[in-house]
Amino acid sequence: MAAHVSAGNIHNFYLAGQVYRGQAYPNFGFTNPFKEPSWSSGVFKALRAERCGCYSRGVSAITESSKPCTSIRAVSVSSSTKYYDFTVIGSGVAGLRYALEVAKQGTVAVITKDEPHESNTNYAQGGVSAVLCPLDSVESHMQDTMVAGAHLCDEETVRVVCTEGPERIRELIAMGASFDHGEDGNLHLAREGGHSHRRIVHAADMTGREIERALLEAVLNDPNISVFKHHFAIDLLTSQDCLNTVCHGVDTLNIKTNEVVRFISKVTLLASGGAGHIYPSTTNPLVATGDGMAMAHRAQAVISNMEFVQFHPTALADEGLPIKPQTARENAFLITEAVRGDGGILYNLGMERFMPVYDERAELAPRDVVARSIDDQLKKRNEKYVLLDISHKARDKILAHFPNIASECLKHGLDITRQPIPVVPAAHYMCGGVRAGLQGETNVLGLFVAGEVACTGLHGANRLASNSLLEALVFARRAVQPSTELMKRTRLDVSASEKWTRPVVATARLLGDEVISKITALTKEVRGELQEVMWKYVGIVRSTIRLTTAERKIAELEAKWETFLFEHGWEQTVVALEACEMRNLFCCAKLVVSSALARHESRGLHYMTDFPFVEESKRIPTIILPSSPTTATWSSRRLQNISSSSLIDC
Amino acid sequence: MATNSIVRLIAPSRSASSRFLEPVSRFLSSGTPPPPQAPSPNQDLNRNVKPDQNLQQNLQMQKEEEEEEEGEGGGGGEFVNEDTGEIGGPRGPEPTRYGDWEQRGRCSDF
Repeated sequence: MAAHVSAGNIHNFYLAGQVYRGQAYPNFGFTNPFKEPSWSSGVFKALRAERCGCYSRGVSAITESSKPCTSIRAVSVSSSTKYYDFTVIGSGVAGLRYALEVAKQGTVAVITKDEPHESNTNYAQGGVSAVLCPLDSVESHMQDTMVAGAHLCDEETVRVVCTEGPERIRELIAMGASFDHGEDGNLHLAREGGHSHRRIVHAADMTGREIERALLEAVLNDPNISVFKHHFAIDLLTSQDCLNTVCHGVDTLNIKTNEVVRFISKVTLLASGGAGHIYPSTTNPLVATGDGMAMAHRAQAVISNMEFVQFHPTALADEGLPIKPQTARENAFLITEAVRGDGGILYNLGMERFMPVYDERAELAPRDVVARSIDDQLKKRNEKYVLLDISHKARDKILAHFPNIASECLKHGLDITRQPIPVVPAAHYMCGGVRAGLQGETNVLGLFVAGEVACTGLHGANRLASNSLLEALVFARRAVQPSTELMKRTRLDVSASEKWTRPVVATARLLGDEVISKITALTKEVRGELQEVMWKYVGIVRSTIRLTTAERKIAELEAKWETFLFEHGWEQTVVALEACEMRNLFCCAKLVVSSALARHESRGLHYMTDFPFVEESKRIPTIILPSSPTTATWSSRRLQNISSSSLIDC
Repeated sequence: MATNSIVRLIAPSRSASSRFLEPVSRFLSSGTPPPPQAPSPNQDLNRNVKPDQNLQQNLQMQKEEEEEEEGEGGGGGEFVNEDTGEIGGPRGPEPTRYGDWEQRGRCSDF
């Protein structure tokens, strides 16, 4: 596998501790960049290898005997430490699907930072794609996926997902998800942009919500699954085992009781979703702060392709509304392409129609071209939004086709039959994430990933519509078998659970009321500043100068924030929800910038003005290795430093 | 290999219709024809426009009509799309007709 860190992204080849020794990781680093990328081979073979004999006896031991280890009865030594065979972080489609399956083998804890239904899945309303029509074919779905992905997809991954998709849909239906049918009794399949055939399965307009509902119901009824809502995941618990990093569970913060709860498990699935809130305008719910990607990076997992951030070109821009919303909108209101399709025209604030400059097709150019054009206009003119005008069309047609837009705008004093609509691009989906093999495995033993947090090789440089729910379903299912096998081979030493320093909750008692409120205020302000830097310098149209400026500004902002915290009594192991989210946002923002700097070409969602063309030699994934502990900031470093000698008897 | 030939077929050429890099001034001074005349943009943006009472009423009426239709639906009251035969699906024009998934103007998936 040609895992390649493009020159320019020297984001630390060095790995801490004893993880890499000599040829331990032959496929990482400076391999032949012209070799065909293959996600499933090479590195991930290391994961399937048995743990070496000197594996940390203190914490977890392998029994080589044929007798499987007993499953953990969910026993707590104290209420603040819980033991499960499997811990799932995130309650979207990936997490819940996996939980339901592994619950047949052992005990499962599902951890979610808000209400269980609060996830990107719930907002994914369109549909899930699969080959379900006899006239359709896996090859066609594969082709569409790879074209959309600008040929950066891993072919094997694409084949697996497109092949296994239909079975995953049937299972969902068997679990009680209710999808639309035609009068002929078959599933009704829609056709979305980028698909050559009708293959989108949907439930009216709320597919994600319907899938979430069905899965959640099954999960809540399963006696082997315990759901811990309002538990924010802080950091993964890991140890070094000779050559590998091993995951043993996760520390969480119970937001309601303000207590740390530690979960020790044999296997952990990270399914924590996206990171839309690194940008000021996003379709994602507030929970999407990149927690999983950041935790995984801190836990030494390899991250990939973070430069490929998908934006929607035309979200309603609140700044342009006559009556501003009283509270900040949580998820962007996206204006459909149909408005442009029906004749809507885009203008900048100087009332110039700009699309024809960028593309012959003007407003009917592909969505990504429109997004880039709008971004370019905004940066050149230093403005906050552009205008989409449909007012020249017949009033009754506008109201008949777009009543949702009309009423939303009317609420804020804008009549779309007479005035243009203010719009701005919104961040929507992260194509990159924690690098996963074909079974959802990562380079951290015992850590699996599925869903948006993962980078499986399916999306490549750009996601095909409705493939994200599909990816989540397929990989959640594929991770089940290796997870189960690993679980059966693993025995936990309960006494080892206190070897990791326990996080300390930031309270008024610890830091003082005034300090707490100052930190809260500063964190909120810094979050907004980070989002502005990301939008201004790491938007849709990028350049080396802008990205390096972003790198510098983010480093300064992070230093300013961390310094303030630590000067006011904060310590390495202190935690609070907003601070931990901020830490994760910084981490993800830096991952995006580093990745973007590393790709010296334009491909799919990543566009660089100084490298505006696709380069065949660069058709390989971007890889980011863990930070060096000596230079990492608080956001890039785990809270606790385990002395490996306390765990390993090598 | 199949993948490679696909790449060659559709790798964007530098003279592609997407002239993303052309600055505005080059476009204006070149011999290429001007874009089709756009209808003159509405200049009302800054004027304080009172919410149009008629508009509100229209939207309200439309909503009520749709609710009535739903009640009158044949059989179990579920909407059946005459063109596609889809049961229980969204009303109105095909949500994916322009590529994304739209509900009465709001895009919910793309």
